[in-house]
Amino acid sequence: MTSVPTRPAAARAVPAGRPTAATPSGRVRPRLRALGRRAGSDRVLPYLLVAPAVLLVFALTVYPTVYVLQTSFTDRNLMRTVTRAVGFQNYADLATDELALRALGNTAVFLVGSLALILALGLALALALNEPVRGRTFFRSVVVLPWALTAVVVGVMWRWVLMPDIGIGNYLLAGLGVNISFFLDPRAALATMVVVEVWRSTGYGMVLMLAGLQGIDAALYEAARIDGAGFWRALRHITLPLLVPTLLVATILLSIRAVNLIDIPLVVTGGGPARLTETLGLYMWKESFAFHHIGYGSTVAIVMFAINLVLTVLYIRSLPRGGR
Amino acid sequence: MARGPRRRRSPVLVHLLLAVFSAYSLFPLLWALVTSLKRPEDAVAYPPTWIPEPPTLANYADVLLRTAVPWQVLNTMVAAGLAAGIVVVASSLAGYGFARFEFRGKQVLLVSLLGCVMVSGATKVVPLYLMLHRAGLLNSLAGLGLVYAVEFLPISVWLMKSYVETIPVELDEAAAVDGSGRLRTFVRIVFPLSLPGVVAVALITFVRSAQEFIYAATFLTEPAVKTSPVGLYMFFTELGVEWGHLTAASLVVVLPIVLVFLLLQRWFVSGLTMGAVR
Repeated sequence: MTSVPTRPAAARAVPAGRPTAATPSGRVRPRLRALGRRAGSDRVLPYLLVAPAVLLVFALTVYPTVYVLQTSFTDRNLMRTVTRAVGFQNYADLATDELALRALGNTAVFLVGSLALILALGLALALALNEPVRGRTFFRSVVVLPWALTAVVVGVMWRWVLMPDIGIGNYLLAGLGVNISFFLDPRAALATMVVVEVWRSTGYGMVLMLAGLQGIDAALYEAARIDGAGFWRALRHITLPLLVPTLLVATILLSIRAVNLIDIPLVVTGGGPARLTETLGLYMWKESFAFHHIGYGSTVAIVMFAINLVLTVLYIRSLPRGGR
Repeated sequence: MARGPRRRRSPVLVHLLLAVFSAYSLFPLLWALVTSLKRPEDAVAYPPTWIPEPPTLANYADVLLRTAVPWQVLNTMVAAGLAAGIVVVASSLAGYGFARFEFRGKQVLLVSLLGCVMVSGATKVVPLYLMLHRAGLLNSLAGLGLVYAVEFLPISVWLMKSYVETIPVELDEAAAVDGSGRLRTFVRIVFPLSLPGVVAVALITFVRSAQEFIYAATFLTEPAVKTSPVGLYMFFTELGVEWGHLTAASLVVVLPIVLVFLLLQRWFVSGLTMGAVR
């Protein structure tokens, strides 16, 4: 009984399938359509296939984003049951909130510092590991390893290395006649945060750029070599221009990460001394969950989201014209 | 096998760069290892000593037998494993759907999935807390695993889509000619052939979820469900905690993940790069 309706569909698929099997594999689309004609359920099936992933992501991303926007216009407090709408009051408060403005400045310093260092070091390491050097796999593992560690362990290890008085860091630096209070001087503390983030994320940047480098045609370098171009000229005229798309992806991913980072600032300095090294993420988290100001915290979160958006658009628009 | 400029300018310089950076990468880990093997009075001695003398495993015994750290490591594995499971199922199905079917709204869905990557955890942590609270999923490893899965799903779907696209469509056609339905073709042919992609997706989700801290610290407040990063943070911020214990606990926390990572790191790296290049 059930085979009766399917037979004509199957019969149609065979002639559609046979000739396409001989055509060059470039034209996938018509062939997919031919495949799709087999059963009537193919109209519904793709939606069923993508539904679990799409619905989960939308439910736990789009809805929260709308929710946080809505909450940012209220005085919602985790310790109170009554919530009032306050219009733009939170945004007005934020504009004159000295701690928040300082956090914004710290975030900018952290973003620029970590991004520049990770891109530069990541590129240098990727270039080095793109050569047939001995111990390549070992070095690659070692450089990426910190990326696999939890931020809390990163914090424990670095606080221990840089411990005042008894830390090995100052012991080694004392040999050079340097003494830095890594966590007491706000500027040194912020710099320490950058150094730790570079330690943790350079391997990630390196992996991204290594992938980009491996996509560049080796024949180009061969031609450049025949024309007498050295390493630096090949880097400037072949590698960097062709690496622009990869650099763009890396810059966007690393920037979003840097702007929104909470865990590294929390475990490295905790925002101290005296809340002077808080970043926007850490400030938002403390406002929301330490002081229960969910409404105000949401306002900070919305501002952070806007920064992500603006940065991404700026990066994409800064691409050299005609390049892509 | 694309290489950089054929003639390596200076192998010495290349090796120097790699050696210096590797030392920087490994130093804090090695110093934690050295400290964890010292007796309490030696750990805080100044000037510090490079070799623990005599070396002792007492710190590890204390951490493993007298603290909740082993249980917290187990909790971490449960949440991260659940996330990896959800991601594998949902992203391979969606990857197949996006790679092998033409349907209305496909491009819009693909692009908006990618747009979701821009909504960071910092933006979502407050509403997710309230949503989990309402759903009764605070202090639940299942709730945490679900949130982790969603965090890695967009990239995983894209990754699986590009992986399935590398599998010749002739194989689907041959199966169709043999009378196999689309779902059976997926189970019998496409899924097994996309296993390298599946492993990469699972591994990234597992390793990154197992180290996550902010969601875990916000959503888990009861001691019984705390994951290891949260437990370690409590330990870390305790007054008068001994550095020998803290470094030993840190290494216990990272050891399972580092082992998984080192054993499967080729997949991890290929996954990261596959996700990035497009």
